[in-house]
Amino acid sequence: MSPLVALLSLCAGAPAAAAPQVELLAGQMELIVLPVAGATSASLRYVVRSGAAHDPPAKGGLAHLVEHMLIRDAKGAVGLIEVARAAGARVDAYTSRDATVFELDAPAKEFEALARALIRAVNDPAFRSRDIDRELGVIQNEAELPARGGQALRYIDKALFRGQGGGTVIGSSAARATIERSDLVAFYQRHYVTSNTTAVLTGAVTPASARALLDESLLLPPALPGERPEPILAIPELPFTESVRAPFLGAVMGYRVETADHEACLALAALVELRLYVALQLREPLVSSVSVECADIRGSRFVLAVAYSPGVDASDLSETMTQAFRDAGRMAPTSQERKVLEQRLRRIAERVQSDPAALADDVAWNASQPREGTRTVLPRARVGPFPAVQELARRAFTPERRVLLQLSPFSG
Amino acid sequence: MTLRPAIAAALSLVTGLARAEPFDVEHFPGGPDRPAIVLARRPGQQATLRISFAAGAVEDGSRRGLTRLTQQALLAANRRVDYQALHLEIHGAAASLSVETELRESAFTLTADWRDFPGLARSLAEAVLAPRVDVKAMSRARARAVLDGKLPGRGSGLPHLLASLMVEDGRYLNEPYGDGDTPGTISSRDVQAHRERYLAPGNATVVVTGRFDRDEMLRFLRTFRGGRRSESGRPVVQLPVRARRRSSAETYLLAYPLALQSARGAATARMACAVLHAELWKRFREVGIGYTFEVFALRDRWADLLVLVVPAHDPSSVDLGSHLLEAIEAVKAGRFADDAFERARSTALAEMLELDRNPEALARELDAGSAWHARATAEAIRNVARADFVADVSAALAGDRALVAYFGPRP
Repeated sequence: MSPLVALLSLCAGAPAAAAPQVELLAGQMELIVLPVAGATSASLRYVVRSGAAHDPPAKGGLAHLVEHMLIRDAKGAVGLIEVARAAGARVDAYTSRDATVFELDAPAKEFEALARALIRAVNDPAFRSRDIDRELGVIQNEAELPARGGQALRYIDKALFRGQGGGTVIGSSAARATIERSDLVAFYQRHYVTSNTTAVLTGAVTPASARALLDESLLLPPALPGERPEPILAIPELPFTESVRAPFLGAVMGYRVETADHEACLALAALVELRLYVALQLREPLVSSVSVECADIRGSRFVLAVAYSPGVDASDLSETMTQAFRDAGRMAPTSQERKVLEQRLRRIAERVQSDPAALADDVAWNASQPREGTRTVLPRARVGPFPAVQELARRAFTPERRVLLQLSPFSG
Repeated sequence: MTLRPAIAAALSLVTGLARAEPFDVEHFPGGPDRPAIVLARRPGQQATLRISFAAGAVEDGSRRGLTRLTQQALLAANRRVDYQALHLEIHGAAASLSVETELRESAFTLTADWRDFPGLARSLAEAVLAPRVDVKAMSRARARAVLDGKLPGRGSGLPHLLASLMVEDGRYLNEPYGDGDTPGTISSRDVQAHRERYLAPGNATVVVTGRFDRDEMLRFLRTFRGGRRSESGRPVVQLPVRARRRSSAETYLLAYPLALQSARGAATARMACAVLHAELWKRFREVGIGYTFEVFALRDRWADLLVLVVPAHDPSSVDLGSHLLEAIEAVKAGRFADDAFERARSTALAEMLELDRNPEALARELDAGSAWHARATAEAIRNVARADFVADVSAALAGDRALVAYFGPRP
């Protein structure tokens, strides 16, 4: 490439992530590295593919408590989170149903030392009894805080997978009260094994620097064959239709699609979202928010629309949403819609590809999904052609795959 | 110049970006009828335009929701802009436009990829700063304002709550979005008059941050004129305040007035937040209370405050209030280790740098003439001596100038 072409290309586009480097290290530990050209920061997501679904019966909240304890046990007087804060970095962790994820976003020059400290904290717990009691107090406070948004989606999650491990991540206070140090140790030994772990590194990193970091920091012995915990694969009960009384009008509607259809799923969600946005917000202000996503729930993929209105004018909300889904299979995008959608999807992809933290979140989310094989399936970033979208809509938007939750002050 | 224009433009962009340093901010004071302009170019992929007016729910007086309705009219009842076309363009660019209404401020904030930004910024600025309000289309603006007025809280947030405890002027109780009914009762003439008096270029501050053509943007923004700066000053803040209020959730709320006119004042405030946060974190972690609390500087046109918000529910029966007050006393008295002081210095600088890299966050930090986000403030943080900091923070956290409020089911 000539210098002038290189200069112009530098000016014209966003810094992009290179193709992901995926490899299996000793003990079947998965390493995914996505360097981002010109990045001044780097991100680590240490994904343990076990979460609340793996809590033993009557010990709900155990996976979450283990996550808290590992961060608490980090070496140092003030804790890793405060050390990171002072370095302009962020350390955090969360437990979902299917995984426990430890997160670091840091300026490039601070990254290596903090990543090493985080990996060592996750790999070398003390589980001191005194600290367990204190951390249970912290979690009790967390449990008392009002939930922030997403109640409708939590309701759907629970309803779709009824009887398939519907407990909460945080557990009940009664269940947490039965957790002992030996439970934490047993859970840790069973689930925190290399063959159940994916390390995702993005931004100002290279495959070589990522391997070197893990070589130096990883304290876990390579897992033996058969030590990998079995993934818990759940099957949604479809179709699902329910009305719930709420102080506002709202609806969650969608259809299950096949995981292999990811690329078309993103574009299809964007098409339905655009049409609903125009119908419910631009032409007339009927709802306060509407969004449509290609979302994973317990390993199953859905095109899911969520709309909400504080008023009562959107009384035919679910009919409008039904129509938009139906039309996605009947009406090809117009040239104007295609232009808007192609630009939007390109911009979103570029933004994720140039942001190490967003990129790491995206990959970690895929790594967290329950799967049969050892490798994470990474979707291609490119947006698929629109005819495939219409074909997917016809194939997937059928009554037996439908989810519909209606929220209304008048019924339910 | 012998280079072809496209190549020359590309080179000027590269050299222009190379000059942008952290904390570099250009302030251009407005004239009597012109907006104040603040520019902060940064490398990266995004740019933000924020147009704010010194008027909000307080200026609504008895016509609650008037400012919000006027803002909606600037987008939905304006011959300068096609509402649907503009929003489709924003949607296609995966950009964002937020319409914000506070007690003493109203704003439009646009963030977009730098390649889409020039066109979108031009459309928004022309619509907001040189509108041609279409009275016949006011019903569209009213419908949007009515929906806003039905949202829970009606745009009220923490500043609203603080003002209700600290300011006697009843207009500070106005909900920023009004209520669901008032927009229908406000005449188009009232909207026009409100716009001309308060939402005019002369009463605006325009902040542009991120990756954009500085000279072209400045030239463009200087074309807007009209109206004049609103003269209303800050209200008298009643302090100290001790309050206990009924609420379904338990929360402690503390606030201290800040003096942010100087770099040293801004540096003290930023470091005080960092020291207090670390002190609370340490204490709460030791006794197993929780990590969900916030310490931050609230900067508003009616007051600048250091605010602590702590959810108070404590099933282990530890007296949270006493931990909170002990932490504040420890910081006031300088009872924290040297390494805690140095960590607070690093944290405050790191937070400034992080904000500096994020165009939208930076645009919200900057306003005309403030020392809050400036190179001098970063320098003051780097150089402040521990003894000077303790003296300043001790004065800033004086109990006789504090708001201490508790909210709970049985206050």
